[in-house]
Amino acid sequence: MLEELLRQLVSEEILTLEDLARRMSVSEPLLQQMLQDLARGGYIEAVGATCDTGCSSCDEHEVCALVQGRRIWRLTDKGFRLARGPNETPSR
Amino acid sequence: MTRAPVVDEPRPAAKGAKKITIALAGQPNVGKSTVFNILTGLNQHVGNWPGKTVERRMGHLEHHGVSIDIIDLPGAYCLTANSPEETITRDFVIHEQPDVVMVVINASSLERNLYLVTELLALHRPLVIGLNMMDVARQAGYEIQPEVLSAAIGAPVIPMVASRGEGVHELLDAAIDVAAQDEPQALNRPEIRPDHEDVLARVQRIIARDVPSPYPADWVALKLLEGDSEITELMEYHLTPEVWSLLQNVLRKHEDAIIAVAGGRYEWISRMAQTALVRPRVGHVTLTQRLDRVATHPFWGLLVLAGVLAIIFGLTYAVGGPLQEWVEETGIEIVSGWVLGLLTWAPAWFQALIADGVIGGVGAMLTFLPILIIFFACMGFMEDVGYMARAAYVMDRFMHSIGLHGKSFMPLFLGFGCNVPAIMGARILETRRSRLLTIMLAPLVPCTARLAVLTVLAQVFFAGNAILVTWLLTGLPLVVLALSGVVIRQLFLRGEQSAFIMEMPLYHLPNRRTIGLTVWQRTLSFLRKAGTVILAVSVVVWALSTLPHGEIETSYLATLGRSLEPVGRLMGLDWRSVVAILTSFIAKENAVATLGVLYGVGDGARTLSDVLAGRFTAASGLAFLVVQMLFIPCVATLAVIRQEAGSWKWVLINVLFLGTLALGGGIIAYQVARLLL
Repeated sequence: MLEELLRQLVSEEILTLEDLARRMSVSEPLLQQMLQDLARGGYIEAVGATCDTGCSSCDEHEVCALVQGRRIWRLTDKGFRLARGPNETPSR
Repeated sequence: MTRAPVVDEPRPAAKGAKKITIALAGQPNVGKSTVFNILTGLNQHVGNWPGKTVERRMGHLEHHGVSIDIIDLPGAYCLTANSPEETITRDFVIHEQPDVVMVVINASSLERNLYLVTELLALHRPLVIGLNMMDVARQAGYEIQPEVLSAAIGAPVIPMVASRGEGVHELLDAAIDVAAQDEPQALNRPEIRPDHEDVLARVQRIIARDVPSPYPADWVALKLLEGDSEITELMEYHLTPEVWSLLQNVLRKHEDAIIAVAGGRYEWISRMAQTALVRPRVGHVTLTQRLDRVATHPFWGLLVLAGVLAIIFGLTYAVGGPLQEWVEETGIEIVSGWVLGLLTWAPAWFQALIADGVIGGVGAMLTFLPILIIFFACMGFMEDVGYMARAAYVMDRFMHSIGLHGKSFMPLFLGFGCNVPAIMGARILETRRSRLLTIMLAPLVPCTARLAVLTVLAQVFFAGNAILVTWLLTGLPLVVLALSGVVIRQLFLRGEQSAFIMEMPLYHLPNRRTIGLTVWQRTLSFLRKAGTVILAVSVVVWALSTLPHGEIETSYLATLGRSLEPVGRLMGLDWRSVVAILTSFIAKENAVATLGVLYGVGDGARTLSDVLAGRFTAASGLAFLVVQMLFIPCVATLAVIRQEAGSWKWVLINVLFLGTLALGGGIIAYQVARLLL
């Protein structure tokens, strides 16, 4: 199931948890757990939207709803290799 | 999974014993504490877990002649040792060997909760499961058959509604029965994926003689394959260097085994859910899901966004417009008269500086505060109810549909708040080429300051049609961004794609306090800018428009402005408007303040709206706003571009790219509008 999830991520889309849960036929909470496991293994990573993108110096960061209360996950090179096979490399 | 070498033998003391220990486990917010309180009443002792700040609760009760100690373990989603709660839970079960582990799970989130069960099963302790919140699950449309789940897992599963006390004592009875059993439970445990069974067996063989008691050897092997740092350190300590090296070789060759181990758990959960769970009928969806079907739809979502923006602008003008007019017509006059009255002793140049420079510039900008406050309130409302994340998502989907996407998503997404973090966000891109391209495009995402200027001036130039103009011009830079993206993607970024998963917040009712706080902080931020950058620029603009002879028409600024006027004329703009656009380079809001200074509205006799309405035609007003929306970003953003790109060359390229774009856009807008309007 986790490899299937990784394969879903080698797409060209932005997905919501709901999209992905529907595709995988699992509940959203379980999908979140799956994402945690993939993140633990280094296959996906949460893209920080606060400290590592300079928001803390922004006047609006206290109230900016765009970067609060949610995470954005993306595939890592390791995840890409597992999903596509060892011979493929992510295009950069 | 390969059968465990550890036999599930309950501690001898538990068989038929009159004293047992129960570990109460569960994920957070499953009603575990409710169960603990019902069972132990006032016989509780609260302290901390040794060396941790996590609360430790122990309780005691007598039931059917059995003396029972209950330890309420901290809520944990799994047992990976990623948090103190997870470490405490697994260490307690391993080291204290409770007679029974009583795990409470949330029936309305069965699959996620079963994950903890899979981890507890691997620890080889007797288990009973309290299937709590059955009422919530039923309301959500789930049908769960506890007896089927019990047969499938091999452990008692007791349906409960702990908040009403239902099922709690049955759960306790089941725990006592399990503790009293002579035979070990025949538990159905998750199995590692078949293609990794051999590896697991090999790891078990390597560590078999050295696993310290009381760790279950098969669990240790699984954790080693998962890369659990704590267990890896433990085994490094207990293995000889030769055996450790052998183990390392095996683990290195199978570094993806975590997928096989965790995947086995998900297969198990899936089997259990298929066996015992009937999902909600099709169509039974939550309110958030129902709303998102429309709000995040590739086509309807864009329409909703367009509608929401129209409502925001409409409300802003309907409520803020009359207030702004009042402030502009009476407020400036009162303040101006009062201040100048106090300054009768001062020299004429100082009075002019205050009247034309400060009141004309900062004051003119501040008269628009009512419109901005309403705008901030509308935006705050949409953020608080959870819509703004959807808006960004829909916009990005739109960009993706026409080719602009990939890892630029995150920086561009941040640009809606402010372009500075958007530029800095480009750091997440791996290649210099994609970073630079994203940096070049990010200033086209309309930031809050640009939107504020647009909202203010559209009202002045277009009054009745302000909503439509604002709405169209908000979309303009995004369309330009998307078109630029298509070209750039085809030329430079072909094949660079990657999916993102966004966790959306739930929709919820707005909170007045949160919205009020948002409005307050944004207004404060605007006032800070008005009192610093805008004030400074207004004074400089006034000085340059006065020196050297005290006449604006012969001033240094007029000389500079007139040298640029031929370009302005192509857009129907006089030199004052051109200078106003140039000063927006310091901060976007300066455009309004500079117009106030140069058109001399500080004496209170004329309002900025009146002056500008007489100076701008619909076509030139449109051209001015188009230039504003596409113009080079503010100085702070350019400074960050220099920092991130590492060269002034890229700042220059950005200035030339956006300057040309703004100029071209302004000329086209003016010439086309002149023909049509």
